[in-house]
Amino acid sequence: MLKILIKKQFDELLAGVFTNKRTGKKRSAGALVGYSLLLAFAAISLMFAFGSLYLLLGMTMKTGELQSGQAFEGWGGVYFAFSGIITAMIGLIGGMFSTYAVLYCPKDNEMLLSMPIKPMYILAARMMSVYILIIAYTFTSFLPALVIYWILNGFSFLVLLTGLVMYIAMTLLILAVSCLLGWLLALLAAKLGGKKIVTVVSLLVSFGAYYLFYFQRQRVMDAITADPAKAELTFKTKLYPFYAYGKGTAGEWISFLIFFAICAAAMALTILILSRTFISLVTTKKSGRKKVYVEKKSSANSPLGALTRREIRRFLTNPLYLINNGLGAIIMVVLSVIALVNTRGIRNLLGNGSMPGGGAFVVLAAIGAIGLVLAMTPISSSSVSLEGSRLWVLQTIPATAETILFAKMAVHTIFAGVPAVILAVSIGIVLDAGISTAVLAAAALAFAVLIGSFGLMLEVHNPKLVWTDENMAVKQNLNVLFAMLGGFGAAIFFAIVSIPVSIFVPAMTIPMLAFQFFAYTGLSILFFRLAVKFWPRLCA
Amino acid sequence: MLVIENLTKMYGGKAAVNNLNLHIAPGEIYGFIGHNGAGKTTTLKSVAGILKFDSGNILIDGHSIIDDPIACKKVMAYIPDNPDLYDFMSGIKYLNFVADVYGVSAERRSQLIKQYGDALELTDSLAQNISEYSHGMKQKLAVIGALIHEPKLILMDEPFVGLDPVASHTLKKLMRELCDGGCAIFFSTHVLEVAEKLCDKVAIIKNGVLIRSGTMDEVRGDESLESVFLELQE
Repeated sequence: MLKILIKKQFDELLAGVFTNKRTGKKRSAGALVGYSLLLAFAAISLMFAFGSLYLLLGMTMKTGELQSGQAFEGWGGVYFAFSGIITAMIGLIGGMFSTYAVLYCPKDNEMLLSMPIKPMYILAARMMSVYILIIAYTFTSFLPALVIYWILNGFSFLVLLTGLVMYIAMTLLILAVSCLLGWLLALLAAKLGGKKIVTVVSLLVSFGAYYLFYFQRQRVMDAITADPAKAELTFKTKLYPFYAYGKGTAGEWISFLIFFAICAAAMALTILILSRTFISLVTTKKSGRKKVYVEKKSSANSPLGALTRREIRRFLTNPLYLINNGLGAIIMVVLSVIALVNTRGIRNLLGNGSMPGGGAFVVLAAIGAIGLVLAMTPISSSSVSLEGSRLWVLQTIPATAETILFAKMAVHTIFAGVPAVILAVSIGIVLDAGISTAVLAAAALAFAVLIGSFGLMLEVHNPKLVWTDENMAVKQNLNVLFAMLGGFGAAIFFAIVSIPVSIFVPAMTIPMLAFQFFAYTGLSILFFRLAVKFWPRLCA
Repeated sequence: MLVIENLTKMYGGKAAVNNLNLHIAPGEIYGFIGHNGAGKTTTLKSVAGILKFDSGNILIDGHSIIDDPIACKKVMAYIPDNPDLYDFMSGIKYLNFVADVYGVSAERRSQLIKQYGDALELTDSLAQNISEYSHGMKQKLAVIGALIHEPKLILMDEPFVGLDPVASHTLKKLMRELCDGGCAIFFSTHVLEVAEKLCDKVAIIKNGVLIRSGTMDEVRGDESLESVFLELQE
């Protein structure tokens, strides 16, 4: 039975990869190769990013080894403990925000529960689906950590063996923690009612996780390179599971066994809690009082206004969508505050204009950095898939494709573009950039619109409309990944093209920013027109 | 009001609907019956503008669904067989959304929400989230949403599925009243007794081909609609 359920999960996971669900036709070999290449590119890019991080840490530790005479090998435990933290963060980001939707909210709950299937099997099959996501995310951190270790320390079969076992144990621990969070959210939703509480808790937890990942990562690295012994002691006393993971991966058998036992215990506890509460949680309806409608005076709005409000409501009431596609917006606002609070420190760090060309190029670096954060805010790139079986409403209303898609773009622009403008203005103030601030803000807004139109075009071209849980339209949606990659690519490309020009000819800074603004705007119009052109294909 | 000319829709190499012709005049309730997979939903979706078809044309109030879909949709409403509505909205928010999209004035929508909400006994539940609605309540909400802009043509796919007997009776009464006021209704059903009592005209489809159509008397003659239907399916 479990095998059948797991097969169903896999079928859902792969639905749309080999066959176009819209037309029912098999995808061409070229399309499959293209998809595979894009996926490989995404994985390699992530591995490269994490690899650079581990290389930086390893090299710094190696330099320390030369100075102090201590062998890097001795600090393998600390190195792997750090990589364990990064891997866990990545895995949690991949897994924990989807468990509530995947485990408790699929549309086939009632159907499966009416069948002679043990609830544990239903749960296990769904957990498998989350586990695959966790593996996909974490492997991009685990593999480079191992490879960089070998590059700096020489290949070791023992580390390969212990590393693999510890990695599997770590992924199970991440799965356990993710499932427990999903369980907690389901419990809150059942006790307190509605999705609002789920949204609030998810936002707080996710923001905490992102905060740790983005802002504390460098602190931990600095602490390790400054004094590995002290860092090791801190890991041992405050973050013992990671200490055990690091030591176990480096080949210390006691730590290896202890970490394995921690993971097994966490997994067993999770299975016990989830299996005992599963039926009651999926069958409990909101316990709140039934609201009785009291007639109020309603006001008429334009079709575009109605469509835009509908999109906003869906974005703000869907925790999975909000966190996965929109958390970058909050990060941009937080970064703005941090920048304004630390104005003097940042100016000192930038050398108060002593950099090449008076530091004018920093404005161009800033638009690149804003672009990277905006790439992590692909709100529009799930907006068609999330229509799912409700697409008929949009297809039958007397609204043009332009109006429908413009409403989707409007939501993207409000929640990604406005924070980007706030961040750009904050950076402009910090850099005392004068007139450049206005151009920087315009370019940031245009970049937000570019990411939105690109994601929307991908969505209309190939939406994932058939799903049993929203996770498939959000987290397992390749359009989100491709929109992010496209955003990263565009941000890096324009930075590479424009920054050297500004360094050598500082007067070219504003024209280069203006050039970016026009390029982003032109591309946005192109992608939006393509989305409008593709829209009728959804009626095939 | 509705003219379907030589409608053909292929799925793969198979014709789901084959060269179908149908005329529905204002004031008519037109029943569409056929076995599972006969092509009823495909036809209704093609008329609603949800499905592209391979050949033929569909005219609604004189406008082609191919050339001027917006004009067609302005005068038409569609209720699917399993109305999946926005569960992140309350019932009243959904109705206001539909009313906004169709440009219904605030005053008129209030009247119609009250009228149809009361008739279908849904008014008290309009503040609730759609996610908390039963299948029948969603069906009722979809019906109110379809009627709120006073369409000239209503397409319904199995509209009585999930409705309680009272709501079912009310809907039949509403359908008659709407058609007496000049509206045309084209609906599919498996409940032949309902078709027999309610419809002015009926069309029977088999394997995508229209095998009989006309007034109820023309189609059934001296027999019951069930007997004719079963005979034709053999």
